[in-house]
Amino acid sequence: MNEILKLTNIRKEFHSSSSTKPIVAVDNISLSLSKGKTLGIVGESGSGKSTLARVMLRLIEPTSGSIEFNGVDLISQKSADLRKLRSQMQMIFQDPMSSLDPRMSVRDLIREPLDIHKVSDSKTRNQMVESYADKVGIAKAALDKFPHEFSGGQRQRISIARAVINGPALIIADEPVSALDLSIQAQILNLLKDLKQELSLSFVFISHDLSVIKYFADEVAVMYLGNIVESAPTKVLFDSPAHPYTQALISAIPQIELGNKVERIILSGDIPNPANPPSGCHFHPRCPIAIDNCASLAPSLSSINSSHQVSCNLVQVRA
Amino acid sequence: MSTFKRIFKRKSALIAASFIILIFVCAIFAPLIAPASPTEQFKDGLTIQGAPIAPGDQYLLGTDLLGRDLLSRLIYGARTSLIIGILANGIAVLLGTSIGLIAGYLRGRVGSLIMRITDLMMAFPALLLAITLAAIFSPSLLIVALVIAMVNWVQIARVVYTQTIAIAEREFVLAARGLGATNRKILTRHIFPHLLPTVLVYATLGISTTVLLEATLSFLGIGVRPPTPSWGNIIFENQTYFITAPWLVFIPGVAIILLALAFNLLGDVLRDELDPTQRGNS
Repeated sequence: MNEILKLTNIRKEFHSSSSTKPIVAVDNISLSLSKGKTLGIVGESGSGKSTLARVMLRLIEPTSGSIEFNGVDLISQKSADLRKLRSQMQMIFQDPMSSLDPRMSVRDLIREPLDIHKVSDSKTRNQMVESYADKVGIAKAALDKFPHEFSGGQRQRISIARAVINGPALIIADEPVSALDLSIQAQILNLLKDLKQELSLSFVFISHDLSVIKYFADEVAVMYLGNIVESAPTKVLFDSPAHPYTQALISAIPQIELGNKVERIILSGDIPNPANPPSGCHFHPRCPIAIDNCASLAPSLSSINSSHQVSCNLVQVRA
Repeated sequence: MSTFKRIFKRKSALIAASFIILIFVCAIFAPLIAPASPTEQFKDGLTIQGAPIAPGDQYLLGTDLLGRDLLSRLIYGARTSLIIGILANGIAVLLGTSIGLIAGYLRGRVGSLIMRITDLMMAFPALLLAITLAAIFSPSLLIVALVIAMVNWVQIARVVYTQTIAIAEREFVLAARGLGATNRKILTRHIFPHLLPTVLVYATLGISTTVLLEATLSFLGIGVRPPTPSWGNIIFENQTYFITAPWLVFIPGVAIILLALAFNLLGDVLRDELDPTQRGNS
C-alpha cells in the first residue's frame, strides 16, 4: 500500500439557478499520490484547482468518482467515521485571514484540532500547542493574541501549526503562499519543506506559480478548465513539456540567466467561462498550434511514456 | 485584563449598569423603598376639582388620576416591567436565535419549512395573536410574557437566519469542518460567536418594545390586571390627562426610555468587547 491518495474519475458539477446546464468545475480527473511525495497541481485561476482540493478531502461532495485515502474509500464513509479520519488529512488554505476564526485566540486556534479529536488531557494539549507554535515560529508570548494582530506570514504559520498538530499523513495546501510577499513566501515554503521532512508528510501542493511548484513538487499535474492536460515528474515536465499550454506557462517564468533567452509564448485571451466551455479541446481557442480538428475532437489524457501523460490531439498524432 | 474589568472601564457602560442595578434594587426592595402603597388612594391625593396633584413636597412625583402616589407606583411597576422585559424578551431571543440558527445552518428543505412557518407567524397580526392567546389562557404575568415572546421571536429568527447563512459560507467554517468538527461544535464555537453582536442588539432593543407591548396588552385588559402597576399601564391609565397632568405620562415614559437606553448601551459595549478586532476601540 504505497498510495496515500488516489482519485478515480472525479467529476464535480455545480448547478446554478439561472441555467439548466451544470458548470463542470472538475471533469473526469484521476490521479494518485505516493506516500512521502508531493504532487503539485498548477493552473490558472478558474481551472478548478481549489474545487479539486476540497473534493480530495470530501469537503465538498464530488458528483461522481471515487476517492481513496490510505486505502480507505472516503465516499462510502459515514460522517462520524469521516470526521475521525480528518485528523489524518489536513488542508492549508490560501488566505489565513479568512480561514482562521477572527474571534479565537491563537492558542485556541492551534488547540482546536486537539480539542476536536480529544487528544490526551488538557495539560498535554497546552504543552503541545506551545511546542508546535515554537516549531512553526510563533512566539509563546504571542499565543494570546488574535489573528488580526499578526502579519500575513505569521498567520499562515498559525494555519500550518493547526494543520500539522494532529500528526496527519496528508496535507493539501491550496495556494498556501500566494497571498504572501515574495520574501515571506520563501520562509513559508522552507517551513513546509522542513515539516514535511520532520513529520514525514505527503503533500498535494496547489499553486498558480510554476517556480513554487518546481521548488516543492516531485510530480506535477497541469490543469486547464477542469481537466488535467499534462502530468509528469517535475524535472521531466520542466525540461520537456509536451502540451502547448504547459509550454506557454513555462516560457512565462522570468529568467535571469544572461544570453539564454527563452522565446515567450504569449497566450491570448482569458480562461474561458466554465459554464460554456469551448467545443472539442477546451484549449483550442488559445492554442498557438491548434489545427481545425481541435475544435471538434476532445483529446484524452494518454501516456507518452510510463510517467508522462498529456492530453493533446497533436501530441497523439506525433506519437 | 478580564473582559469584565474592561467593560467597566468604560464610563457609558458603568453608568448604564448602575442604572439597571438601581432599577433592579427598586424592584426587589419595593416595599422598603416606596413611600406609600402603590394601590392606596389618598384622600388628599386629588385636588378639590378632582385633578391629579403635580409633583411637589407631599407627593414627590405627584399623584395619578385616582389619587395614588406616582413614585410608589413606578417603583412597584418596575417589578412587572422588568420581569416582563427580561422574561418575555429572553424567551423571544432564545427561541428566535435557535430557530434561525438551525434553519440557516441546515438550509435545504428543513430550513425552508422552518422559515415559511416564521413567515406565517409574521403575516399574522401580532396583536390579534396576543389577544387570542391571552383569551385562551387566563392572564398572569407568565402568560403575558409568553404571549409577548410568541410575537417577538419571529423577527429575531429572520435576522439570525440570514446571518447564519452568510457566516456558514465563510472559510473558517469550512476549515473547522476540515479539522473534523461536529456540527454542534461548528454552531457553538464558530457561528454563534459571530451572531452574538446581532443577538445582543436585538435583545437590548427588545426590552423597550416588550415593555410597551405589555402596556398595550394591559390597556386592552389582557395584560397585567389593575391595580397592579406596570410602567406601561401607568402611561395608558393616565393618557387622557396628559395635557393637564403631563408628568403622569412623561415620567413613566422617561423611565422606559432610560431603561431601554441603559440596556442598549450595555449591549453595545458588550458587543465591542466580545469582538477581539473591536476591543479597545471607541
